[in-house]
Amino acid sequence: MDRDLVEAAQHGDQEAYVDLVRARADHLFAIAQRILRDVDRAEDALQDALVIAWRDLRALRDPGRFDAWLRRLLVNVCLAQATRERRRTAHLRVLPIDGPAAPDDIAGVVDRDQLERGFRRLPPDQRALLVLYHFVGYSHAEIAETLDIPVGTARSRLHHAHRAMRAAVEADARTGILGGRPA
Amino acid sequence: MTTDRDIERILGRWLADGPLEVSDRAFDEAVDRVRRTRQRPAWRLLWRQPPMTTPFRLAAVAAAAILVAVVGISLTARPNDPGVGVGPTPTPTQEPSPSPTRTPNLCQPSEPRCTGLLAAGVHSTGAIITPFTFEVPDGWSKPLDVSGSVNLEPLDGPGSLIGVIPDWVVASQDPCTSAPEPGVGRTVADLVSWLTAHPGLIATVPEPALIGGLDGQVVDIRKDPDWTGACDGAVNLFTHTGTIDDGGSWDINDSTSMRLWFLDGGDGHVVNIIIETTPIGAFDPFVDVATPIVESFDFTP
Repeated sequence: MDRDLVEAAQHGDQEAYVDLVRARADHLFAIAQRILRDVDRAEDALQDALVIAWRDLRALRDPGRFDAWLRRLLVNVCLAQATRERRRTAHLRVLPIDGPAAPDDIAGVVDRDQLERGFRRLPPDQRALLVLYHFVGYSHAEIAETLDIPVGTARSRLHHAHRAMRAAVEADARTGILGGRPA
Repeated sequence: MTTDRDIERILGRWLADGPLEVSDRAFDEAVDRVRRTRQRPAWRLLWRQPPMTTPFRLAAVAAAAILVAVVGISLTARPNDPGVGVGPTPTPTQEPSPSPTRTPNLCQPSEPRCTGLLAAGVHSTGAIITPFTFEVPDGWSKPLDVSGSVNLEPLDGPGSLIGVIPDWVVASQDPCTSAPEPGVGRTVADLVSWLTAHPGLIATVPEPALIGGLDGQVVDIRKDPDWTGACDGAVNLFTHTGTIDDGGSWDINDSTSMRLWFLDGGDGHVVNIIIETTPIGAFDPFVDVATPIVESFDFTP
């Protein structure tokens, strides 16, 4: 069914394309929002990805790979956007998030604000890796395919992303202690 | 104090918590933009498809420089058209960029625990339970050196790596998990036999190998593109047991090629070396580059 829609869209059928992406928009938006940590930017990334996908859809040789292709495109758009944003704000000091930061039941080890700040400290590609693995539920092989890297590289990068996340959370906790912010 | 496992456990739950639906306004705007966008014809897209790796880029630059030179010479030095009145213009030439970007923070041979860019020379591993020395030229990095894995990666080949992994066991095939597959042994012969008999893999005939003082076998594999199995388009290969670090499973998909060495490390240990590339077309050139490094491995104390 979807294969038919993809092929129709490849032949210029806009309604088929809209049907195709309507069913996927929420999931793609959720991925973008997790990587970019911002609803507005995630919506921008989703729009860009859907327009680019439509424009370049005829390059997709195997209609059965549409979902993987579209996710890869979205992740690339997110990475480009996050990298631009990172350059623009690199000189800014990271401010603590407003509101209480008391530990909750998510882990009993770190609180949500610490996770948020720690995650935002990661480079965009590491954020994308963690989102694909933990949120989308991709295997190492699927991450490798999405990011166009070997499976072994995906594994080692994921390993480093976990390490980096842990280091970022611990650095945040130390900042909190030194700066008097509730940790 | 958190641990890596704490972080892994927490992240899934934390990431699940957040907005899941795009607004109608944002989706409608995307549809409006799509309706105003023309599709590119396939021929314009397909020629752009091959990845522009560094060798491709250098070749493209060289080809462009030659083209400019040829056109320039033909315009300025036509034997039958001497009266143009303009002397030969120096042809702009473009030197290939000399090497990948360098930073001064190179891991030196005296720093086995260092991970990152490697200075050319002989290095030691720092954490893997089957330690070894290896020699690299300029342009290589060691991004991973933990008890269960060492990765060596070229700076100009983001789709390629050399990995050394001790004590692999065959991973569960169905269900497709990182648990060990029951009933498969752990010797060199067991692992190679299982691999070459797998219906989802295309494997070369195993050959004897001697790397760094260890005997074993070497085999090249890729996934049979027609095979459909339990692992979402991939073939589940190997995993770790016990407590060594980075014990995730290894699998292979349609775009990956591997050369695998299975070496007898003694005392029940098997040392596995992998050369892995994506896409498949990059395999042979990378094997040529990576093989001297693998052959420099020395596992003797």
